[in-house]
Amino acid sequence: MSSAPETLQLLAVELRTEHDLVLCRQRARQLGEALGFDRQAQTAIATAVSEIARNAYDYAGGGRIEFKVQTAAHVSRNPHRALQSLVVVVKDKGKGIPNLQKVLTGEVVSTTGLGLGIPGSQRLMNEVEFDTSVRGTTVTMRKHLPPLAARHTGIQLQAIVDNIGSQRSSSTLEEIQWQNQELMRIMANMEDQQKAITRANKELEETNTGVLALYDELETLHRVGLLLATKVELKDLIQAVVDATTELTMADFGLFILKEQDAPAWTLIAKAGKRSSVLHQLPSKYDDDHFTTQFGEGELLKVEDLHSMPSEFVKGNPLILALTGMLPVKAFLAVPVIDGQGQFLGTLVFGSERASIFTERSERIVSSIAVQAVVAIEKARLFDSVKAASEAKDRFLAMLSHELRTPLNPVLAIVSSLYDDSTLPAAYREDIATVLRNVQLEARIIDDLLDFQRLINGKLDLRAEPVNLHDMIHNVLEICQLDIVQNKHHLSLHLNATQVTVSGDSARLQQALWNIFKNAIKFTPPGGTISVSTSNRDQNRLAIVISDSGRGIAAEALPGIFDAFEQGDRNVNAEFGGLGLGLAITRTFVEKHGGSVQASSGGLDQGATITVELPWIALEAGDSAGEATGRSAEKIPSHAAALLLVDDHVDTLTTLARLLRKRGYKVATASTCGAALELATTQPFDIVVSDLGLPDRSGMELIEEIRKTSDVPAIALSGYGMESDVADSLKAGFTTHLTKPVRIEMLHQTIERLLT
Amino acid sequence: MQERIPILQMGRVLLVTIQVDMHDRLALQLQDDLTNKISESGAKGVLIDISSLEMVDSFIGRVLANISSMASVLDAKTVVVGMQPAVAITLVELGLSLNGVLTALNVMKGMKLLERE
Repeated sequence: MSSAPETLQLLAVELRTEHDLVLCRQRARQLGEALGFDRQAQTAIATAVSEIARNAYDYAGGGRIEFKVQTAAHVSRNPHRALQSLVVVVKDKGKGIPNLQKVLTGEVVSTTGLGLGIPGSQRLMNEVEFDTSVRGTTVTMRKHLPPLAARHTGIQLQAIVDNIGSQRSSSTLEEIQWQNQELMRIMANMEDQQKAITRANKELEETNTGVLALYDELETLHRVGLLLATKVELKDLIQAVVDATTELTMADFGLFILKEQDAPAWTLIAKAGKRSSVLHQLPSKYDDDHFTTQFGEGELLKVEDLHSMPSEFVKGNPLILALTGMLPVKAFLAVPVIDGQGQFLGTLVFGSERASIFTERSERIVSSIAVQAVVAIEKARLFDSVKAASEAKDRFLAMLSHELRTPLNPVLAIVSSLYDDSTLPAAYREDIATVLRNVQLEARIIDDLLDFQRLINGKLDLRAEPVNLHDMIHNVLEICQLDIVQNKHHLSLHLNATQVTVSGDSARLQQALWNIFKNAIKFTPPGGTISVSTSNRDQNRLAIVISDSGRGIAAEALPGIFDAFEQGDRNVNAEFGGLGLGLAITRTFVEKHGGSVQASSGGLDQGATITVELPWIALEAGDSAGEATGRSAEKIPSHAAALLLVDDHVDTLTTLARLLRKRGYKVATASTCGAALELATTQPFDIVVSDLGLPDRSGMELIEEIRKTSDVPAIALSGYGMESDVADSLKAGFTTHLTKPVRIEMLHQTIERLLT
Repeated sequence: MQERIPILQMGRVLLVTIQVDMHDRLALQLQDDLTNKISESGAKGVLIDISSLEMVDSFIGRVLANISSMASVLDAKTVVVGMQPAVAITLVELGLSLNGVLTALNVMKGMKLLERE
């Protein structure tokens, strides 16, 4: 009968220092003694442990030594005689014993011992087992207890261990000495480590400083990037670049010399620095000769100290020569700004009185900013060209409307005069009414174009006066009366609102409403119904609802119905004509009056409803909202005033003259500025009416000449009706400005107003 | 504080008594100290008393052999005295013969051996 051997752990020694080596062989001897080994065996055990433990210390840097007692399985009937062994296990985590077999046969000569340790241990102990691999080595040594020794029980073994533990204090001095030495060694180690930590800290600090500087650089670049992104004006943008880079490089001054796009010329477009008075004296224009491939037009160039450069360098670079002539400069940094296609956009030049002021960091930053500046400059140039194109378009539209209006002027004047002539036969008058209506319509379309132009340019000023909306609705319906009758539309009016006065510009509001009515008439088939109602359903709002039974609006077209040049779909344009500006203008006018306009429709052929809402105002006693309707009694001239009429368009000139004479004025005409001035100097006039575009000189110059000697009231008559045009003519000396085409009635009223 | 094993000079003989179980550095230190002392003093003999040592392993053995060789080069004889029988048996079992190292049973016999040499 046999069973597994029983092992009792005695103690373990961690092998970290040489002193541990001494300790473990002492423990081996002490245990040997306590377990009953004779003196010789004790020495043998201690020596063998010392040999194997030294190997672990020398080759693996340390390890662990365990002492155990192993009791073999019962091989004898007498348990008290069972075989017991002292087992010493030496474990390390070294790289293993590479040539164990040779070591065991004594073929290897050690450099530290005599190569006897391992084979010698085998002779000193009963059994030695090696378990070695690249992950470590475990050596298990056994020494059988003397055959006559009594079997040790666990309790006895524990007593042995306790006893050995207490023996440690017997050599206190030695122990203290060891500990002191150990402490000193540890302190020396710590000192080394401290030095290493200090070194590492210093390195870390340096790295940190570098990282911070880098972060700072990035932040700066980011800031400049943002700055550049917000600028669209080329000059502002470049100034921002120069300001930022001059500060960053710590230069005394910084310049940006921009290369013209299509000419061999360079312009100093931005400068920054402390000597602003001197900088302002720098010439603003440079030619190609100022730039050489060495300086300005080539690679980035850094001059640490100009005095240490050969004199040919300065002579060979006219820009440096020019700058040093005006400024005390020692260090230079020139950074070319080149676009993606390799084209030179310009050059950044920095200078300083201090030599070697420009660091690699400044080079790096300025180069990065130069790259950003390229993008920004291209953007600015694109913006400039778009702006120029937009302005060209505006000018074209303004000119187009002028050109379209001018011929309409005499037609409108003659036709409206004929229409007013009650002596004409009724049949003619009917034809003339048709002509008048269509001419007015065309004038209105051109006005729409011009109004729209003013709206998108924000150049529309609105008057604020009390306007009675009910009166205005009647007024607009009266204008549309003929169309309604001709189309046999049924008109229903439900003007139920009690608060009907709004504050606004009567002409613009009327135009807004007229556009809606005009659409309702246009899109409603003959015999259809148009209804107009007003209410104060919302507390502070006056609502005007215009519904028709016409073509209606498709659901998908509804959202864009108030957008410019939008007419629902292309068929509408083909069938009904027009520019699609009416409702866009209506919405803008209504919104500018603090109101809103909405469209709704059940779909195509379901009719449409447009609702306009405006804030009403309480009318104070004495206010009159009536005069805003544009209806006023025709005034008779109080006396036969003398008029000087100037226009180069012969039809306009003769027509207007004829019509004004019919109204009792004495009219002298001139078709050039020179002729007008001649008349003005030879005879007195009560009023001057002049076109602005004259063949020899402009109407502005004419009035300026006249104003030198006379303050006669003057009316400017022009196809250009922009706010700026009006302001220009008033500035030149005109009393008022009328935009063509002008109805004779309007001109007459203006003249009368000026005369009184 | 440098731990050292004291070396006593008695006429032209240096006497070293090892009373502690030496760790390796201490043994190497002794080797250095002894060679220096021989050179300084012009000693002709070295007596190393190891009667207190309960164990001599291959490392200590080699140190003793080295001391003997170095002393010999410096014209001094080395005698190791007082080796315990158990230590001697163990040395032999270990395979360590301490070639060239003179031995004597005790200090007295060691001194005589040196005088004779």
